[in-house]
Amino acid sequence: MNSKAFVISFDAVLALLVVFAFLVASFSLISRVSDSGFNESFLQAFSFDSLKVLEASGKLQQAALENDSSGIDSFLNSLPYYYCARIDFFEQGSSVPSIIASKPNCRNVPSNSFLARRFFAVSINSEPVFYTAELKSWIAG
Amino acid sequence: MEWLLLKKSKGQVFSADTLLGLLVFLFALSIVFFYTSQLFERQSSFFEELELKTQTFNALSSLVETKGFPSNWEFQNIPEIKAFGIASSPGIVDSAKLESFLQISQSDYDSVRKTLGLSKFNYRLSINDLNGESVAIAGSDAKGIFSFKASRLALLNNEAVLVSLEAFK
Repeated sequence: MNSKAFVISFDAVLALLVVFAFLVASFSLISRVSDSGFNESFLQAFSFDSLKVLEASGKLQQAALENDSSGIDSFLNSLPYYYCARIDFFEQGSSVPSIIASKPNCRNVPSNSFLARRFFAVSINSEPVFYTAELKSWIAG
Repeated sequence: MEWLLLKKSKGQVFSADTLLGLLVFLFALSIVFFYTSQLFERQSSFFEELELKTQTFNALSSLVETKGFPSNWEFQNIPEIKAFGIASSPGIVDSAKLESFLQISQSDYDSVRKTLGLSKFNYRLSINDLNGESVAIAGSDAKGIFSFKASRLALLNNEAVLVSLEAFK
């Protein structure tokens, strides 16, 4: 009789372990689900917006002409605190940025930053000079 | 005598063993119920939050990137407006459309909420310049238990503005 009772308890313990294992697995799976894709959508939209607004307001062209990032710096500083961005200006054919603009606390670009580019031209001595503005953005940690 | 012995041993099985087993079972069952309900609660709040974020972001994108439908909605009656958009072209806010949107938001808040796809939530649209000065505001002043605020950059009268849509419940 005693041994029979032992066998039943062992089965029950085993079943309980299986149930708990399922619960733990479900919890860990659900915890891993995040809406981080949402941050990417926000970054993407906001980065393209930034470049578009900068170009339409003439600030990109002005920075390239004057070789001065102060206008872009102040623009970036006025954006929401959680949005970090850095803009590098490349003259056509050059791989070295001629101007770098960024928020003061957003100098180090993380590897998972979002990259957006905008091509524009300015007239220097009646000759068109082409530039690429490369914006890297990320959410401040 | 044999019958009596059998009866006695059967009676023993139903006493302490059963009671203990039942207690263990109920204990385990209550733990399972507790965790399962937590699991469902967590899942449903996650999806509710995701719905809030998605609908807010979609509504804001529709506002700052499109002219709305019909494109001359500002001259239509409210039932004929299928979608609101305050842009003359993507990212360029049209001040006449914005003015109409502010007026309709004030006169028929619920219709605007539904047309924006935010029928389950309240909303507040705010437009600020980059110095933080308010340019326009529309929608509810109420506070919600949980909320989400999406922002986009746009141009209004050739000036950069931050267009923010906050939805809350």
